[in-house]
Amino acid sequence: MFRARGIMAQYLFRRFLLTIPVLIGITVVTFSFMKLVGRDGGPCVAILGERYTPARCAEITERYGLDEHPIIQYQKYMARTLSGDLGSSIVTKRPVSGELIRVFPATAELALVAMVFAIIAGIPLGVIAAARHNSAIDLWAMVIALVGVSMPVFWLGLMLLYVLAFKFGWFPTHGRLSSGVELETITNFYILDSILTGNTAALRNALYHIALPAFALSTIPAAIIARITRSAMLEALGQDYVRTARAKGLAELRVVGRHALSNALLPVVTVIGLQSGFLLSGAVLTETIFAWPGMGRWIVSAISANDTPVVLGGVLVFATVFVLINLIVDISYAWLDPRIRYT
Amino acid sequence: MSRIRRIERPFLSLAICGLMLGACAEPTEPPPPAPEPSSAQDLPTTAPLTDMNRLIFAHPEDAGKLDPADVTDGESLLITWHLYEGLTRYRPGTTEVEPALATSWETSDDGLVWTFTLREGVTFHDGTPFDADAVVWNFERWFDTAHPQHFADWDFTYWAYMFQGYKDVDDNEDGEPDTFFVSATAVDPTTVTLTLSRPNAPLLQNLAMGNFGFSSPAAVQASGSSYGTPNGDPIVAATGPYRLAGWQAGESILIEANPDYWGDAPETAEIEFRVIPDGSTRYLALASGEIDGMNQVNPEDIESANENADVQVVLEPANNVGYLGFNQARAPWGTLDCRLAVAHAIDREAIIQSLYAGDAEVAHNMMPPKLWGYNANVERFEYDLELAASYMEACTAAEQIPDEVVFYVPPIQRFYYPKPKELGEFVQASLAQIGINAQIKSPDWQPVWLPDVREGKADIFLLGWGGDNGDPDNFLCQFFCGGDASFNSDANGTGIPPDAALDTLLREAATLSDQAERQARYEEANVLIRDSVPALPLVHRSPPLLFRSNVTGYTPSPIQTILSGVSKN
Repeated sequence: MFRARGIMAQYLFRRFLLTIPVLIGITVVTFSFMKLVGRDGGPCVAILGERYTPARCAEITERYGLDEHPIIQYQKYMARTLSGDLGSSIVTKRPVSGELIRVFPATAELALVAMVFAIIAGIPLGVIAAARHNSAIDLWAMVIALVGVSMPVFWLGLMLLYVLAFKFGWFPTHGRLSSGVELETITNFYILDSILTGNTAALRNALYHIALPAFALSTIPAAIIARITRSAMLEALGQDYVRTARAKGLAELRVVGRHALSNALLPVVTVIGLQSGFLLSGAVLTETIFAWPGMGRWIVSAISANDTPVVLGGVLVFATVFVLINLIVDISYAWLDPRIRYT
Repeated sequence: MSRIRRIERPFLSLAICGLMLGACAEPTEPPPPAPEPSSAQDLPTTAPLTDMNRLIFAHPEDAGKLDPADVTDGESLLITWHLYEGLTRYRPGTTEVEPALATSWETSDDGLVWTFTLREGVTFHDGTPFDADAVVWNFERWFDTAHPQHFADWDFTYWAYMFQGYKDVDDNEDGEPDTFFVSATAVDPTTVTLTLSRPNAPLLQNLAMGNFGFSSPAAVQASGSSYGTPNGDPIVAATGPYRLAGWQAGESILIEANPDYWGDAPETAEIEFRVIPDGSTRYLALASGEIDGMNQVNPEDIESANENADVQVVLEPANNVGYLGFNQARAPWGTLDCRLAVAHAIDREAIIQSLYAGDAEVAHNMMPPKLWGYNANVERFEYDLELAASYMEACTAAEQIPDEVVFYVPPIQRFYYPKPKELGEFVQASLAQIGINAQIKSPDWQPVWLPDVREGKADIFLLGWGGDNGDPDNFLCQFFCGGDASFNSDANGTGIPPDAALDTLLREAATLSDQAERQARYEEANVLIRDSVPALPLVHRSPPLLFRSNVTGYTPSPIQTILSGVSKN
C-alpha cells in the first residue's frame, strides 16, 4: 500500500515537472501569436477608437513598453509572471489576476453544470442504445445524439431563450442572479457560495439562472458521450466475461450495469476529460447569448483589442486547467481499471 | 401586430439562419399573420417584476473603470455621468454649458486666466468637503505625470486629448510644452483660477465633459491605483446625485441616490446597470419586463420596438457625422472636379431610406445640426448623375484616373454606420456610374484598418466622428486643421491641412472668446467645406434608446445618457 502511494507520488511529481515546459511553451506561442496578429500599435485602436493618430499611438506604445523588442517584452512578462503578477489589462487597466478570480469561476461553474447534464444524459443514452442494439430505441438514441452534436450552440441558445425564457417565462433571459438577490461571494462559484452561506434563496436563483445556458452548452458533449458510451458498451457486451456472466444467470441489468459498463468507462472518462476542457474554452457563444460573465467572452474581447496581458493570463489558466483535467483522467484510469499501474 | 409576433420575426430568422450555418442574411420575410393580442402581463413570467424604486438599464459591456479621468469608453461614462460632476455641465438635452460645481466664472481680457467661483456646502460621497484645494488637486493629478496619484499605468487620455498634452511634455520639440494648460490655483476655499498659455475657446465646453468630474482626494489617496476599479471593495467618491452602492464586475453596477446631494434629489432611488452583451438578448429582456431600459439597439429590433406597445423608442439628438473622406495627397482626389463628381453621384437620401431604420438624416455639414455653428444654408449636393458626369469630364481632363481606387470600408459596425458593408457597396456602385472603379478594402479594424486610414493609405474611405464636448472645433478642426493624414499628407505621411484658407479660419475660431464671432466663423467654414469638399458628409444618426412604456422623464441628449430624471409609473 505504502509502496503504491510512493509510486503514485513520484508519478504526480513527474507530471508536475512536465507541466512547466508545457506552460512556458504555451506562453511563447501565445505571445508570438499576439505579436504577429497585432501591429506595433498594439491596443491603440481599442483605447483611442476614431481618435487614433500615429502620434498618440506612439505615446501609448512607449508608455506600456510595447515599442521594445518582443524578446525583451516577453522576458519582462515572464519575470513578472513568475513573481506572481500577471500584469494589468492595457485597455481596462484592471489587474488580470483580479479579473481571473471573477471570470474563471463563472465559466468553470457553467462548464461543470453543463458536464453534469451531459453525463446524466449521455451515459444512460449510450448504455440503453448499446443494450438494445439495432432496435428502434438504439436508432432514436443515436438520432438524438446526432442532432445534439450537429446543433449550433448559438442557435440552440437563442431558441431556448426565446421559447423557454421569453415565450413561456420559465427561465430568466440573462445573468447569474436576478436583480435584488443578495449573495455574499466567497469563491465566486455562486452555487457553492450560496450553499456555504446557507442562502437558499440565492441557491434557487443561481440554479434557475444556470439551467438554460448549461443545457445549451451540454448538448454537444452529451451527444459525444452517448456515442462513445454506446460503442464502448457494444465492445464490452461482446466480451467473454459478459457471456460468462449471462451464462451464470445474472440479471441483464446487473450484466450491463456492473460488468459491461464498468469495463466500458475508460474511453468514456477520456472523452469526459477532453470535453471538460473544451467546455471551458468553448463557452464564448453561450456566455454572450446568456450574458454570462465568464472567461470566454473576456478573452475574446481581449484578443480583438490586442490586449496581450489579458490573453496571456487567460490562456495560462486554460492551459493549466486542461493539464490538470488530463492528469485527473490519467489517475482515474488506475481507479477504473486495476490492471493499470503507474511506474 | 402583437408584441410576441413582432419579436418572433428576427428570432425565427436567426433560427433558420443558424440551421443554415453561416447563410445568414437580413430578415426579409413578410410579416407573419395577425396574432393574438398579448402583453407582458399575459406572459407567465417567473422573473421578478422590477422594483418601482429601482430602474434597471442594460448595456453591452461592463464599465472598465469608474474614474472618468482615465476612461475613454462610453460604457464607463454611462455610469460616471451619474456619479461625478465638474465645474460646468451640459444643460439637459443640449450641448450648451451651464454651472455645475462652479456657480459662475469670468475670464481675463486676454483669455489666459479663468476664475471660477465654487458652489458652497458640497461634500464628496466619502464626506470630505469639496473646495478649491480639491479642485486644484484634481487638475494637478490629471496634468502632472509626476503627481503621486497620476498612476504609472493610467493614461488620462482625454486630458491629453482636450488639453493637448501633460505638464512639461514637448512632443512637438518646439521648446514649449504642448499643452495650453499652465496651472490651477486655489485663491480661497471657494475660488479657483486656471491659467492657460494660449486662449482656448472651448474650455468651458471641455470642462463639462464627463471625463473632468472631480474625485475626492482622500478617497483616491487611500485607494491608490485600485480607485474606481471593481477590485476589493470598489471605492468611488465624487459629488454627483448618485453614489456607488455595489459592483458585481461583469454583471451589474448599482448606484443609489446621494442623500447629501446639493441639488434636486433624483427621481429614482436606485439605478442598476446590467451587462447584457448580446443585442437580441437585451431586447428580449426588455420586452419581457426584466429590465426597464437599454441602449445599443440592433437595427432589426427597432422596427419591432416601434410596434410594441410595451416598449418606447427614444432617439437621442445626433451628435455625429458619417462621411466619405477623400485623401487629397493621392490622385486624382487633389482635383476639386473629381471630388465634386463623386458628391453628385451618391444618392444620400437612398442611403438613409435603405440602410437606416428611421433614425438618421442626410448630412449637409461636417458637424451635426444641433450644434451651434451649423450652417443650414449651405448649398446642398443634389443627386444628379448628369452634373456628376460633367464634373467627371473635367476631372479626367485634369487627372489620370487610376484603374483602381482603394476604398476603405469599415469591417465592423460603427454607431453612425449600422451596415457598413452595404453602405460600402452602395457607394462603390455609385462611383461605378461615373466610371470610377473603387476596390473595397476592409481589413481588421483594430490592427490595420484605422491605422492605415490615419496614415493616409486609403484613397477614399468611409468613416465618422462622434462629438466629445459640444463644440464645433471638436468636429471641424479635428478634421481639417492638418492633424489628420487621412485627408491629406506630405511625402512622409504627416497630416497637412487639405485647405489652407479653411485651416486659418478654424484655428482663428478656436482662439476667440466671443461665441457669436466664433459661430460666424464656423458657419463660414461650413460653406468653405461645402465648396472645397475635402469630405462628403453622408449621415447624422440619432442613437436609439429603448424603455418600457411605463418609464417617463428621460431627456434625450446629444452627449450624455443621464437617467436621474427618469421614473417608473
